[in-house]
Amino acid sequence: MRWSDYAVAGVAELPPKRTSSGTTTLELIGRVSAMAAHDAGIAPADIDGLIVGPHVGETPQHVPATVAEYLGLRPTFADIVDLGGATGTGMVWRAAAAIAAGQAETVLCVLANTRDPERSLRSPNRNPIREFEVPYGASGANQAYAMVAQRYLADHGATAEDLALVAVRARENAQRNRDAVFYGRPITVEDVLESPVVASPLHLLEVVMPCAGGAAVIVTTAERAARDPRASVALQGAGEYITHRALSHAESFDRSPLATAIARASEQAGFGAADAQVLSLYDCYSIVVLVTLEDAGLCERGTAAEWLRRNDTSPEGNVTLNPHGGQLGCGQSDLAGGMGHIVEAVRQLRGDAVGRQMQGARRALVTGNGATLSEAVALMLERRG
Amino acid sequence: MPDASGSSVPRPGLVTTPLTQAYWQAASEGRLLLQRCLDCGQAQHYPRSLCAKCWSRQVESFDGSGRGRIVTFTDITMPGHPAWLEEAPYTIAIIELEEGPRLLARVDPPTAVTVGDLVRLANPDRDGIHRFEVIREG
Ligand SMILES: [Zn+2]
Repeated sequence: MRWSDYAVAGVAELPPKRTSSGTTTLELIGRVSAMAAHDAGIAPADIDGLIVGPHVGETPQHVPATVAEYLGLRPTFADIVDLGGATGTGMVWRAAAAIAAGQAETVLCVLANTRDPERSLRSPNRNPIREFEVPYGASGANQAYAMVAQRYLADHGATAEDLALVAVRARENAQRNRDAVFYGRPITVEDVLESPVVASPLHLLEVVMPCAGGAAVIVTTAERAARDPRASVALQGAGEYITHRALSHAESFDRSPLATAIARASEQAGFGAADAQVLSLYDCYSIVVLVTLEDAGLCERGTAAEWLRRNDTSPEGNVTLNPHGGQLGCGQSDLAGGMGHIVEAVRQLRGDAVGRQMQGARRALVTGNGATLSEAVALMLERRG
Repeated sequence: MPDASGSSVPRPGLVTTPLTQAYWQAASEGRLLLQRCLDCGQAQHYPRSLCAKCWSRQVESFDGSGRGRIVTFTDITMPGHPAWLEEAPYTIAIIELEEGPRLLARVDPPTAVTVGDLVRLANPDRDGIHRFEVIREG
């Protein structure tokens, strides 16, 4: 199969909200799926494939069937992807592969989550990370990303200001996105450094804000997508690499699995990160953006902050980094936050990113990252027409 | 209900499986149990039903040296679980053991380590978890 025979025909995203009392995941999935179908100009009856994510604590089993029934779909192909923050990107190439295998023609990939702070769900894990790490007071993601950052600072002599700059740039771009949780709230490097240290060396403002929300992407054949009078967005390459669950078992502390995922996607696409005008890079924490810029080969190890200082990463720059504000600027709607990076890349390449459109954007690199730089997926996208 | 640490939120306690019981028993005695593959020689942490390198099922437990080096660490001021709030700040680290495997553990005293420090297993405490201390040279 050739990736370029497959395209993203429609995208949608619900604005992230801090809370979502009284709603359900299925309700959000319904809303965002309808928005994506409308965007694609595709009727529900034309959707014959469905890919969903895990619904922790809500629908432990039979998730695709539950979602299909709610949406009134009877897909000839259904699946679940469980790659943390790489779930959305992982869905896109699987959708194309399912179409190539003749199992469907038009696949809806959808993720949504509710958030009720009163009812925090503690997972009933009995796996190695629960047994060998949680009893040490190592719960949650902050501590693990803090250790990635600590090692980065030690290896490269990078500074707290370098990390803070990532959060500042995200907020800058979020000022053009009315849907962003931090719209109207720009920050400075000083603001970041004055925010409380959560786990050294990470400050609170270097950590994504958990939100409720949803996102959906419809993948179909390039031929079908070309019926849309707008420019379409073809898939050109997809790379994936899963190396560990717990950071203690990382393959390396010098690079992340994104390096392999991006290299694989680039090789398939015939172009690399340096040829992309849109960098839609997964950014759950400041450190992840620095590591990803280096994994993508855009700069030498330890020099990502310099790269940021050298480049205007707004939509007016030569290369724009997370023009929607990223998850650091928008808020993170759980797994849908990762899919938001695809939604934004598609809008930029189509030329309909209202209020923040980059001129002449033709190629995009989209990354997804799950657990602690554990599950990596990279997509190369290109505008057609 | 307050637990031993005085916190009002109960801590997620130790969980074990029949395969890992000996590991946690050793931990409570201040020993760090590792596994060694009898076919390829690979050492591994945590205990598994097979060698994660060659998939041999001939793996045996042995007492590790308890010595290693800090790969990275963090001083936690805002724990991810409220049960540890009153203990903060505390330090967790990823330690590469002399035998090769890495593990996550606590390092005492808190907020006093850097990347690359040599550490050794300290005396066990009531938690039954592994706590390391920095080996100061000279
Ligand atoms: Zn072996």
